[in-house]
Formats: sequence, structure tokens, C-alpha cells
Amino acid sequence: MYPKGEWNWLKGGLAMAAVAIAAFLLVKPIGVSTQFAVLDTMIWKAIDPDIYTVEEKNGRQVYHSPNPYINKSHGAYAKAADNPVNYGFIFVLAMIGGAFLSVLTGGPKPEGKDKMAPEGFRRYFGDRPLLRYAMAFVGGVLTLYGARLAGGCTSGHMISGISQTAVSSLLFAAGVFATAIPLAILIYRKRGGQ
Amino acid sequence: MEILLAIILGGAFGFVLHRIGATNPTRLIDMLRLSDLKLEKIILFSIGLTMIAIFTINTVAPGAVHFSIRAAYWGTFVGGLIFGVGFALAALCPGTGVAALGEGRLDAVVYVIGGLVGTFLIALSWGWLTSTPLFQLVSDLGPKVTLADGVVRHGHVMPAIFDSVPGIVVALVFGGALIALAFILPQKLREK
Repeated sequence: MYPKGEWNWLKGGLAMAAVAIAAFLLVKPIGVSTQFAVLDTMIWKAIDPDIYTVEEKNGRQVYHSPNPYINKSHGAYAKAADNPVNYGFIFVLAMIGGAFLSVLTGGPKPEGKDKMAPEGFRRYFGDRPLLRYAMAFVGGVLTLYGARLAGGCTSGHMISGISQTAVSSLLFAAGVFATAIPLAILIYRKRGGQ
Repeated sequence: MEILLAIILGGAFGFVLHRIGATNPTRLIDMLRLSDLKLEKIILFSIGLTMIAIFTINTVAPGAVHFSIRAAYWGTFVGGLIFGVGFALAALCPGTGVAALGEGRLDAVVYVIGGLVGTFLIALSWGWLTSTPLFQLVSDLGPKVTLADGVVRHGHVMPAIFDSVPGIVVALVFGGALIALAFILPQKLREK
């Protein structure tokens, strides 16, 4: 049923917990969506050099931005964008390398069509990669808009947040599944004639 | 040292996401339409186990766990609702979308570009958003509320809803329930 190399749920759950616990003990809880804001700030800076400014105050770098989002938390996104070799950003880049390493060492490997539109999508929509890309794009816009409004995503809020019994994370998870499950059931269904 | 840990922990997280099938949108479609509960089981089990582990360590070695609680305001719930719509459409989320780049998925590239656009839109609308009731706090106890007691950050204990019992008890009951649920849930609730 699952492709060769994919772990069963118990082994996978133990491995996921091991990574989460190690992060809690060694550095800080796992999080991903903040780094989208950091990368955005880097791109923005390349296009509009005035999106943030740095000034030296009492030997410390102080960041300011005319944009209230980039300016929040003492310009934390601008600071991270200015110093790309920081923990959070490298963590997310390393995730890409980790998945690649898993492919190289016998993990599941998507082939041809599956790289454009996965089997689960083709099952309901047929061979339509452009429709898949459109849904992935709009989904990307909405998930990151929602995550940044909520202050975290599936990683930061669910894995890290619920583990700490954070009320905010339980609220986020309730919101996510309240729309995601009914909508997925509605979207991914066999249509007439198929 | 911290950068080395970022490479090791980030690499391990990406590796595990890939090995459990979470970077495969097929697995996420089946998770959300309840036709394969494998990822539900993994999420429930790993959260339950992590919860019990960190609260146990926090009891025997206070200060060893680096807690970080996010604020609870109504936008957290509304953000979740919006996230859920995007999650169903893309069948990817920020973490799995990034890790899926590592196995060469082209739809994941499009997803990440969409994510950068979504983040840009939040930056443009932030000033207006903060003036709406979305940023009113959910609890009278404060922004960073937990269920279990004993969560310390920068020397401050976060307010807890169940503050009359030790945090480890809440973690054992809640975490234990999540782990039990992971074992009890069937393989699927619906057909593909």
C-alpha cells in the first residue's frame, strides 16, 4: 500500500517525537512558517532597499521598518534577513537537505507524474498538472496567510505548541481541522462519469 | 555550535517528514478526507509522547526544556480556519511543503512561491489587522496561557488553566489520551 521505504505510524511517531524533544532540549521548539517572513524580507530588501534600515545604538544593531509587520518584535524579521546564517533560517534550509538525504538512503521516491500532480490528486481530478499547480499556489497563499495571522503553522503550533499544552495552539488546531476536513471531503471526491 | 544544531535538527526533521510520507500530498489528501489515518496517528502519538517527555524532564530538571508559548488571540483561531482552507487545497503545509522540495516535487515549488505571496499579503494587511477585534485576547489570564502548570520562559511562569495540579499530571493525562487515541483509531474512516 505504501511505497517502499516509508515508515509505519509507530516508528514514524517515535522518530518525530525524538526530533521534537531534542529540539526542546538543545535549542528551541521546532517552527517553520516564520522563515517565510524572513525570506520575504530578504526578497523585499533586494527590490526596495528602504524596507528596513539598521542603525547602531549603544553598540547594538537596531532595525526599523516602515512596514508594521516587518517592524514588529523589534524588527526581528529584518534582523534575521540581514543575518541569514541564523538558527531558524538554517534549520528550514536543512529540512530540504534532510528530505533529499532520505531519498538517497532508500526512502520513498516520487516518479514522473507524481512530482507534478500526486496520485491522490489524479485519483479525483485526472491528469491535470496545471489545476494541481493552481490549487497548490492558492493553498500556499492561504496557508501562509493563516499561519502568520495565527503566529505559527502545523510545526510551530501543533507539534511544538500542543506539546507545551499552549491554549493558542489548541485553538489553531481546532480552526485548521474545522475547515480542512470538510473541504477536503468536498473537493476530493469521485465525480460523475468516473 | 547553534548553526551545527540547526543543520542536524532541521535535517532530521526533514528526513523524518519524508520517511513518514508527510511530504507526499497523497498522504495529506487521505489524512484530511479521513481515508488513511496514518498521519493522524503519527501526529497524535508524537505530540502525546513529546508532551509527557518535556513535562517529565521539566519536573526533574527545571530549566532544561526551552519552552516557547505563542499568544492566544482570536486571530489564532481565524488564522487556523484560513490555514485549513489552504491546507485542503494544497495538501501541503509550510513544513511539509519545504521538505517536499528535497524530493523534487514541482507542485511543492509552486506551493512555496504561493506561501511567499501569502506572507507578503499579511505584511501588507498587518497594520489594518491589528486594529480589528482579531487581536483581542482569548483568556483573561493573559496572552501566553497553557493548560499545564510549570511552563517557564525567561524566568516567568506562564499562567495555567489547571494551576491547582502539578503540570506533569495534566501532561500525563492529556498526553496519555493522545497516545491512546493514536492506538485506538482505525486505519481509515472512509473509502478512497
